[in-house]
Amino acid sequence: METVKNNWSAYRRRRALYVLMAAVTLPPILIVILTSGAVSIPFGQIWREMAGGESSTASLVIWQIRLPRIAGALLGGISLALAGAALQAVLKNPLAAPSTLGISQGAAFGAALAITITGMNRPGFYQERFGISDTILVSLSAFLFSLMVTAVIVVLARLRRSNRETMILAGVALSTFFMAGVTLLQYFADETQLAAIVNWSFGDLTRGSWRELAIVAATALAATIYYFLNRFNYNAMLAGDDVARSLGVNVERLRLTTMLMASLATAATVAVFGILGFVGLVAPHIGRRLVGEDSRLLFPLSALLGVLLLMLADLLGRGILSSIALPAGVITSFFGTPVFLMLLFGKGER
Amino acid sequence: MAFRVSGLSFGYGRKTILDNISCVFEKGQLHVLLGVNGAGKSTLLKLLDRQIKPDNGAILLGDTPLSAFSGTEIARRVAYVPHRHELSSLTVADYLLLGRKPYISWSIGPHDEEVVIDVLKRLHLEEFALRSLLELSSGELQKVALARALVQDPEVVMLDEPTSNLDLKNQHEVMELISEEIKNRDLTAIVAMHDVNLALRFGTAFTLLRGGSILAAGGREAMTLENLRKLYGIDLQMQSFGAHTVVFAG
Repeated sequence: METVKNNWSAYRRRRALYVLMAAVTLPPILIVILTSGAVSIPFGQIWREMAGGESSTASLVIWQIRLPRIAGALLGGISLALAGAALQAVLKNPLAAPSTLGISQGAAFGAALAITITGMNRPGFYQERFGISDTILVSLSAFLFSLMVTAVIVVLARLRRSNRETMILAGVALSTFFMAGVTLLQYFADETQLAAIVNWSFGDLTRGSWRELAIVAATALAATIYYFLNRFNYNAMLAGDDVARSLGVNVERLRLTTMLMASLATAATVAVFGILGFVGLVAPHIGRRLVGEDSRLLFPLSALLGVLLLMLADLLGRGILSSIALPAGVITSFFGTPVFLMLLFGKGER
Repeated sequence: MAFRVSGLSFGYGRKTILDNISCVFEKGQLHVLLGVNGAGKSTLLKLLDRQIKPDNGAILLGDTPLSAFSGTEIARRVAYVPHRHELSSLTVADYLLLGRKPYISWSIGPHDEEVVIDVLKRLHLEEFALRSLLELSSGELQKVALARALVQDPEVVMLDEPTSNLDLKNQHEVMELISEEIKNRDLTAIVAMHDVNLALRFGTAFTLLRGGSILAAGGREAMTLENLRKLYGIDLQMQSFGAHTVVFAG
């Protein structure tokens, strides 16, 4: 009896170690982001510059450029990776993620549509008439369209014939559809709008103002709390819908609310940063390889990996070309594609 | 009395699965549900576990209508083992821990782990504790699924065809485990199955379902040759060998 108990605890500690390892990798990368770039700031001076308000160039760079980027990576990474992990749990599909199901692309289309429409009016028109600023309108539209995609997926998931593969294929179809919509809008857009729309299709962590970051933080927090409270329910779902139901889980409500939460968090992220492809797919998948499917470990590890991936993508985007910085979204899409293909055709667990 | 069912009807769309059935499931028995594929055995189990809700009729769990319980309250009294098990890479111990779900309010406590370890021991599954479900044979998996149900500490455990994928040895082992738990822990089991001989060997009460209605119910006296011929619609023979009775086609 004691040996089983001891082995079990040892096993759990071993798994938890991965989460710890991911957590300790973060600070060094954070410091690299803070210190390196066009203006290099020595490590020893970070705290002094930060405390000095925005008086010097260095503190301005930290407060206005590097810290928002770090906050962006944190919030975007957590939002997308957890959305992916949660979607994979309730749809029982290791390939489910905001970008593979078309939720991100729906949000991008919503944003592009709002940019086009607001751009047709004089600036501040909707502010005067409805009291909604253009930025909020763009975010709302992004959310609305991501919800529409979610609604389609919910309906598809209920169909008898839908299985893992058809669901992803439907997601691919939806993604293509909405990206075609974005292209169409680009065709009619003027230069300023075009720049804004193109920006949206390649997520950039530097884009968030502190106010926008606060909105993303709020949705990320709400979603994270919801996932956390349901961690045992997600585990119960691993045993199948009927067993989960017999364990007292309201499977239908859990699935629906989780999808709404994931869409909300994704929409907020996409509305502020644009599409950061594959983070929501790859982070939970790597996490699953390391600690297995127990949500109590998989979710925190996925969140950490999501943040790490985005920070590395950001650094890489800045290091590849000397003249310009590539947005993190370009990097995640580039490296996400081969990983996605590996998941599809490699010998996975499922 | 574990369950009392009266005037229960259920259908999917226009198709009637169960038509106005009434029956009782006494405490401390190993109830066997028999019937051809599609007779409504699985549906009855799911209704008793309130995974689905009846179109008509009432189900009493003890003295209380099933509809008066919350999902968690039912889960603390009734455990369910499906016919097909959804696999994951969870270890056996972590899988069993799922059975504590109805008792977890905030986090898993030491008591929950003790229950899991106790059941592992009772069912002689200790060596599998840290193995992934994906590495188990069908027989091991079936025992693990039963263990998960027992971890729920239920009054009634329902099993949908627990032996249909198993070899002879594992069939008997699983049924013996269920019988032992009934004897030692004041448990009631309701088991849907196809193997008449296994039913005769281990069952203590029988409910024969045909075309959504109850053909016969009761103790061994319900298992007459005539009833079984009607139930399966083929010619059967019955023969006694010492203490055992065997049914075969022909």
